Amino acid sequence: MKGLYSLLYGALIVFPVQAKMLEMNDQQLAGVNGQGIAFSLEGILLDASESSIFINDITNAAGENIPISVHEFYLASTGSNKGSNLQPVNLGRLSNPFKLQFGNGEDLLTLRDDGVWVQTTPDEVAILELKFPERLTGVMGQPCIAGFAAAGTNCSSRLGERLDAGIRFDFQVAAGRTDILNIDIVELIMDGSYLRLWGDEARDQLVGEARTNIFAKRIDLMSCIPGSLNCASDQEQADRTLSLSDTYFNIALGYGKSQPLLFDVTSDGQFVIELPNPVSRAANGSARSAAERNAIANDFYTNAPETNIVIGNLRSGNNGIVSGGYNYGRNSIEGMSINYLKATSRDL
Amino acid sequence: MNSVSRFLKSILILLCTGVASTSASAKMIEMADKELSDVSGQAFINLTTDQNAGIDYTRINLGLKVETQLNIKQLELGKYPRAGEPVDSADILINNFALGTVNADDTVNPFQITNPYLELAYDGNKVVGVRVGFDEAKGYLSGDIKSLTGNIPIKIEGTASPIFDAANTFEDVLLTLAGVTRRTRLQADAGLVTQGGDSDLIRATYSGLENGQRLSCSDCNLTGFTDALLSLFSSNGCEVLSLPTCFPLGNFQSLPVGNLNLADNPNTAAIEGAARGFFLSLQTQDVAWRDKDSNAFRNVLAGAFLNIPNYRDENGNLVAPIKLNFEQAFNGIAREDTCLGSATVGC
Repeated sequence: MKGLYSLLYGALIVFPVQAKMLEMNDQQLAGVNGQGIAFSLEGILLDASESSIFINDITNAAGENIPISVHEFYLASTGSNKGSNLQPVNLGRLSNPFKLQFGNGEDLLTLRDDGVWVQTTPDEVAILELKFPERLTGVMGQPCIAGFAAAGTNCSSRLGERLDAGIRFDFQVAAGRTDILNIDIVELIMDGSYLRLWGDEARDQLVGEARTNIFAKRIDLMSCIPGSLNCASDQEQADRTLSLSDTYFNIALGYGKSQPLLFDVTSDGQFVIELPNPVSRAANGSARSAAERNAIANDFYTNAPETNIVIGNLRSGNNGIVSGGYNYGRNSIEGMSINYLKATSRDL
Repeated sequence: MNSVSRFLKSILILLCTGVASTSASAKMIEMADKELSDVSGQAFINLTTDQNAGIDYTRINLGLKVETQLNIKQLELGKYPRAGEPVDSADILINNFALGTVNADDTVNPFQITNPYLELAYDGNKVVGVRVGFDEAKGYLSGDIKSLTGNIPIKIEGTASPIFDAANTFEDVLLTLAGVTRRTRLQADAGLVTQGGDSDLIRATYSGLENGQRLSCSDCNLTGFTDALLSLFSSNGCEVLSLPTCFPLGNFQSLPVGNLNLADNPNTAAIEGAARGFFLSLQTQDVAWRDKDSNAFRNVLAGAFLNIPNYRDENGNLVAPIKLNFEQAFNGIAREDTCLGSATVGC
């Protein structure tokens, strides 16, 4: 790592500058419950090419360890040419920083895909929020993916505030056989992503909601080590690369008002992730009338964030079918809304 | 500050609950360092390999049971120019896609999945295919299907009554001569076809009886004579006599995957009545994937591919993952409610 330092700023710094500062009395101060920090990351550069990182205890069907070694891990400014030219990058800025804060449910607004700010969290609940630089409305918005308007033009990160990232995994899957997964991501930002956690009194448990936005100009997944057998020339490397161009994921899990994301662990150590049906019963188990259910469902479908997975173009190789490549074109899952989900882990 | 206090209180309650739940054990026994070192807690994920005809396979398996009811406004895979196919068509295009259904009281009937996996196929160090699949799947799959590429066998089975309803007088006579009554149970195998009745595995828009497919008697005792006469009822050009035998995929808006009449036992690891071998894949060339039910390798065409194959049921019989009766085949299947509240589709 050549350099990694961050600047932390008090939350008040990011509030709009007031023409005149006025002193608050004790009663006014007592009413303030938003606490936290806002920060930007300046001069970020991570180069772990000289490090040795291993992941163990992933097993095969016989229970034998399959070691995974990690290489070529980097985070740097765009233009890195797959990590060969690493330069520091600034992520977030004073006007649109990362935030780690407490806030009231009424105050934490979410930008709906149609550009309307809405409240997704319940009233009168203190919520811990980790938030990436926000998306914007109006003329200040930046293209979330340069040259690909379908991803939206409401991101706050400018072109120079985007990240190139890469990592290579070597899976020693069998004797004499190692599978390679070499990932390079170009112009990555995660504007508008957040994780919100709070205590649900009716359920007596920690609950939350999360939105993960990933915007990338290009993601390359290569299955060989550059310079190795059949992986030396540009053509050989291209033929062993799956390229995702103009790709964005909006992964939405949970809608705090009526469908918080629940985490649990069973008595035998398995984890459970659940998105409960938002309308059928209240959190305390009581039934609801049809009118109540309709009202909640309308709110849910109008305001709950949806999941989108869009790959503007997906192709293997660069010369089409003739050289063994293939262009899969556009691939998308758009407007996914989960009414119910329960995932329980189990031993294989 | 009160809400902050409530949050901290909730965290405290959560922690106390955790402590309380562990202390509820009959007796806590300290683990030695060596025992602790043996605990790796990742038994829900493993990685397996396979090989066939010069292709190496690596599969990442997740030990998960998933129940879900969801809607997707548009599912589109493989939208690219393809020889012989309409402009702007896609390998798979389904609007208002949904898994599971919603009851009138807004309770849900989830779609069930076990053990999802991601598998890669390698030719040397080149990836030639990737698939996402499940060991088991059961529930309603709904959507306005615009085009499908893949393998989706359908068994049409039921009484002949809807056939008599659709037949003209001459055909009624022929059916009667064949010994078929309104209560005779007939069956036929359907799949993805062109409007002319040829098999169509790429961007199909119709499902029905492939040319040469015929009706057969599933449980009558007149097998010799009746089947001989029924052989006259072979489908040709999407017709048996004047009866249509191919239908737009859009007519079938909710498809039952697996045996929905068989209740699941929550105490068993398996899903009773589930279809096996469900996967979605992308290949740069034709690739043979191992069938999760028969364990044999089955060839899959290049491009995007949806596979919902035949499988062995609980009695060891090879059955189709989707079963329709003749009334459903002729008239289509209405959309099940997949939305909460007053909406039923498009939510």
